[in-house]
Parts: sequence; C-alpha cells; structure tokens
Amino acid sequence: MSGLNAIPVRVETGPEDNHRTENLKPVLLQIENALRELIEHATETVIDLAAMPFSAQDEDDLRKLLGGGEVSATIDAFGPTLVEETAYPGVWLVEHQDAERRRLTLHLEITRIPKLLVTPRDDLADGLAALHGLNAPDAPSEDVQ
Amino acid sequence: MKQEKTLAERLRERGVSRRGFMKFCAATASMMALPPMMIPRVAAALQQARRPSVIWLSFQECTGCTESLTRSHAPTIEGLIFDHISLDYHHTLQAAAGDGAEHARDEAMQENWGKYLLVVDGSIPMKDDGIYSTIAGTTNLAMLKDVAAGAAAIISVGTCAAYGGLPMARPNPTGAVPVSEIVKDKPIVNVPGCPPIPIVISGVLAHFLTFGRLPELDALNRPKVFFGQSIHDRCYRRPFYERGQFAETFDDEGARKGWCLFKLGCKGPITYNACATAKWNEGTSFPIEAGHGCIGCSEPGFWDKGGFYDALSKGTYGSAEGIAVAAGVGAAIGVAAALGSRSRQAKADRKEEV
Repeated sequence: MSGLNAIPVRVETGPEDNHRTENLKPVLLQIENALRELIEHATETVIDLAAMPFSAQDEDDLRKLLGGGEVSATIDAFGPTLVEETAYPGVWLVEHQDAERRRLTLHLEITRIPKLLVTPRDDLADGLAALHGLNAPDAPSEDVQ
Repeated sequence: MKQEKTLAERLRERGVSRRGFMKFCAATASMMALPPMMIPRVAAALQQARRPSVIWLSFQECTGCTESLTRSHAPTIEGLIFDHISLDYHHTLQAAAGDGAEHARDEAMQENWGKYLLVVDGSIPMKDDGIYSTIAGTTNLAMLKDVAAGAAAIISVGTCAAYGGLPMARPNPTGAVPVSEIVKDKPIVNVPGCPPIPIVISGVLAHFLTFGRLPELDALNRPKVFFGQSIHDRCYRRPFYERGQFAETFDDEGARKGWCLFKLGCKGPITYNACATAKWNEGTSFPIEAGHGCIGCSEPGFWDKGGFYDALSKGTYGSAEGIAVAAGVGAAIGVAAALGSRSRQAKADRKEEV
C-alpha cells in the first residue's frame, strides 16, 4: 500500500489558531452606548453577533469581559434558548438553539428583560381558559394529595 | 375556495409555541440579515403569510443547488420556510413522474397565474433551437418562456441560472445563457453560487413571505443583504491581510498558522457572498476556514478567469493596481463595514416597508 497513507499528516494547533477579528472593541463600545440609551431614553437594543465577523475567540473574550450576573434562564421553545444576564445589569446574552442544540443566533440584548422571557399575551388568555376549565364544577377531579 | 393556512398556523400545528414562533422570527430575521430590531415586524408579517405556489425548473445543471437546499440540517429555519411553500413542480423532488408531473405543473400555473414564484436552476441552451436539453420533449427554452409568462417573479438559483455557469464556460458548446438573457419582462433575483448557500435561498423565500416582494438587489440582481459585502470584508483572516501575513504555499508556516490566502489565489476581495458569515455544513466553516482560498463561484464568468490558484495581483481579474486600491479602501473601512452594513440594511428594509 502506498500513496496517501505514506504521507505523514499532522495538524498543528497553536495560539495563532485562536484568532481574533478585532471586532470586540467596537461591540463593547456599542454595548456602552446602548446601555446609555436604555437609561436615558428607554430604548432597547439587540445586537446580532452573527452579523459581523466574530470568532469563537472573540466570543470567549466577550463572555469573560462581561462576566456572569444574577439571572440565567432556559426557555424550551422550538429548541432551547439560553438567557443570561451579564455582570452588567441590563446587558443580556441570548442564545437561540434548535432542537438539536445547534446555535441559530447569538444576540446581545440591552434591555431590562429580554422579550422572550415575557409571557405572550395570547398565552395568558389560553392559560386562563384552561384554568377556568380546571375549576369548572363538572371538571373531572383528580387526586392531588 | 379553501383559505390556506398562515405560516404561524402551520407552525402552531407542528407544536411550535408562541415563544417558539418569536424565536423562529428572530432566527429568520438573522437569516435575512435584517437588524434584530426588525424582528417584531417580521413576526407581524409572517403571522399572516399565506402559502405561495412555487414552480422549480431545473435545466442545464448538476442538481447541486437542490442538494444544497435539501441537505441543510434539520429541523431548521430554512427547512420550515421550505416546508411552508407549496412546491408544485420540481422534477427531482416530486413524487409524480411523466405526464402526471407535467400535468401538476400545468395545473399549478393555471390556478396561480400571475402569482406563483418561478425558481430556476441551470442555464438554458440556445444553440440549434435549444435541443441540447429537453424535459418531456420540450426544450428548456420553450418551457422557461411558457412558465415565466405567468410568474410573479423569478429566482435564478445558482451561478448557472444567474450567469450561465459552467455550461457557458468556453467554448460553450450548447450556447448556454442565463435566465436574464431570455426573460426580460419579469422581476428576476439572482442567487448565485456553485452551489448557493441554502440559507440564502430560503432567505429570499422568507423575504418574499414577509414583505410580499423581492429583496433589494444590487447591480447584478443579487439580494444586497447577502451579497452586499465581499468575502474579504467579512473574512476572519483579514487581520492577517492587513498585517501583510500571507501563506505562500499550502504547507508553509503561514498556511499552518491560518494566514491570509491572497497569494494562493483567494478571490475573496472581488467575490460578493455570505459564506464568511452564513458558512457551510451546519455552520461549521467555509472554504477559507478549511484552508482553501475562495474561488469566486458567485461571480459571473468565474470559470473563465484563469487559474483558481493565481493571485489576483497577477491581473487576470483586472489590473493589480485596481485590486490593490480596492483592497486598500476595504482595509481603511475595516471592521466597521460589518456593523455599518446593518444600518444600511435597516434603511433598505424600512424603505421597502413604506
């Protein structure tokens, strides 16, 4: 047997592989401006990190710089969505994943609460109708002890 | 006539909750390269979007474009968009064959005359009255003219339909031409690429569903949201270019360290596409990330412009001076380009909504 198997292939990895795109600083400045807008004018901002060159290393750096805050939540809707408030109140990382846990989008939301955490108004009505059915006199009773 | 279900209703039937729908809209907006603040508007429009009839004609092609779309990972946003359309004719995907298939096309055309979307992949042979490619005894030329007459708009998918592609490469034995050479009286959007990125194909469909019209196009009739910036503008290796760090061969130190592939023939600076951000293979990477330069497959005539491994500075694609100036200007605007494009896209879309 000769040919390809005879060629020693070695994939090198090193610090240079963890490249940075130089977009971290502009993003941090954008976050600062957005937070100021939120405080002064109640204007919410969403930054789509997929919209620009932003490497895994950049993301890692960003997460380290922003740190972790008091709130984290998982929403299970059309696959998981991971919501984390950073150490900077009002600055949230929202990662949408599909049912197989592959990332759909990664958003930075500068807001008091990400919209996806708020119960949809129509769901309230559906929930009320369901509860009403549960409390109806003729509803089938179940042992809840 | 029975009212077709809206996209929101279809998703609800599939067990997607309201939060799930909002998430779907967020991902769709991202797919369409719209700014995130457009998500509520996308949601409002998709909530009401009805099912459009789509007729897909495949001419002189390799089926790579269909493979690209159908082999996207599932369940996906593009999959859900693709499921929502009524794909009434696609001779690779449909169950019907022979007369039944052609009858389905006729029926869809009659029922949706003036409203259906026509998707074309593949170029059209013109030589000898177009006899080099026929379907059910009809030349591609005649079929295109017939179906295009009743279409609301045409999406030319892949470089062959958009610009002639490989069938048109010299010496072009079949006299291949793109769709736009034949159809002159319909809106045409080109989604070039060999193959095109699946998310770009479905992004155009999503835009049509959302806004009821085609997206804003560039001078080559490509959607600006996906083709507004060069591969070079969005390439993660660009800092190496700006620092003058280039791989000189495919196995030197520069190649191993992931330096810029410009000298190895990368056509990123003159190629406009979304590969660097949308990526391929379930978002894994794109050719440059795999260590190979961009071959410029979404640009007209890429197949006849010299070697894939010839550096642009050799001048095959234009003067080296011109390319240097273009790249220099690109370097000057630097990373701000990506952020700036968002506001341009936002403006473009706001304009469409007026």
